[in-house]
Amino acid sequence: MKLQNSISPDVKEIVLARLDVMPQNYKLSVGNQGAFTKEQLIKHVKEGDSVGIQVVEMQLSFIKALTTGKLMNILNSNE
Amino acid sequence: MSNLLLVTSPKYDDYTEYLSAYALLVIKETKNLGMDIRDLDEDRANKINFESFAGKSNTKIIFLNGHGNEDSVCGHKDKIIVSNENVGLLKDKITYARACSASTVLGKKAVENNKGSFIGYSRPFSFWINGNWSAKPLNDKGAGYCLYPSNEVVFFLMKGKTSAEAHQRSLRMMEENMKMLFRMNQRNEPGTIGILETLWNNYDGQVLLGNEEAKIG
Repeated sequence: MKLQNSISPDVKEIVLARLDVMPQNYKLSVGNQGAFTKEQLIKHVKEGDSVGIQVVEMQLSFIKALTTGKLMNILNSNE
Repeated sequence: MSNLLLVTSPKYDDYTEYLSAYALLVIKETKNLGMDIRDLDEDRANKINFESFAGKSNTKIIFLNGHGNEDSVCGHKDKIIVSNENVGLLKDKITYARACSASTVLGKKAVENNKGSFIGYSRPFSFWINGNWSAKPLNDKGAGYCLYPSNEVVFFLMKGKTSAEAHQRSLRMMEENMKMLFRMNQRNEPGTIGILETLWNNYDGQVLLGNEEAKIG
């Protein structure tokens, strides 16, 4: 799921809210971009830069998995 | 000559420290399985060493840890060690690239017209790091939910399973971890939803290319 080089305000709000619930001492290691604290990630998402876009893409992928039922199928499977 | 597992384990930032700490668990297991190992760790994870060992006929499994992008994987200090320039060294090998996005271009080239396989990621490989445990990555339970299933790829390959079996084993373990994290989230355990999100992305992004039946032996 690739975004254009901007993040819509609605999406930004959702992602920022989801980042905000992470504990203070956690950092997200975003592949080749580095490791970022919650505060740094929030800043990147607000700025809409390459790190911010990557974080948003990850979040949207998860949300899509929830809304399509793909994740719930896995969580409810008995295997 | 015994089968050789070639590992790259750079350690110069949080990401590579974690990958390499978990890779060490795989390296320790080779002794139990009678497999030869060459661990290119720290500054030994460079292109010269990689090319020297990757090309050997008894190198059967290549386990790359590091930063990456669509067409390359890095070793020490972000220096590229495998790219379109030397991807031919992966021919007929089984490669697992624990790096971002390398399956997208590099992986496809690695398996073109040969019997090898490539397990990797079509998007960034990510995990949350708990600052309380960053000096002891193996004690970081949250990161472990992402990294232990990733190790299973290589464990299964070393045991002589096919690339498809190794890939599927890893996916099944990620599914079990997702279920655990979901239950923890329902109990409001902090951080679990974020870890579940990254684990989902690693799961959804893990791909197997090339010969699904490729195995050692």
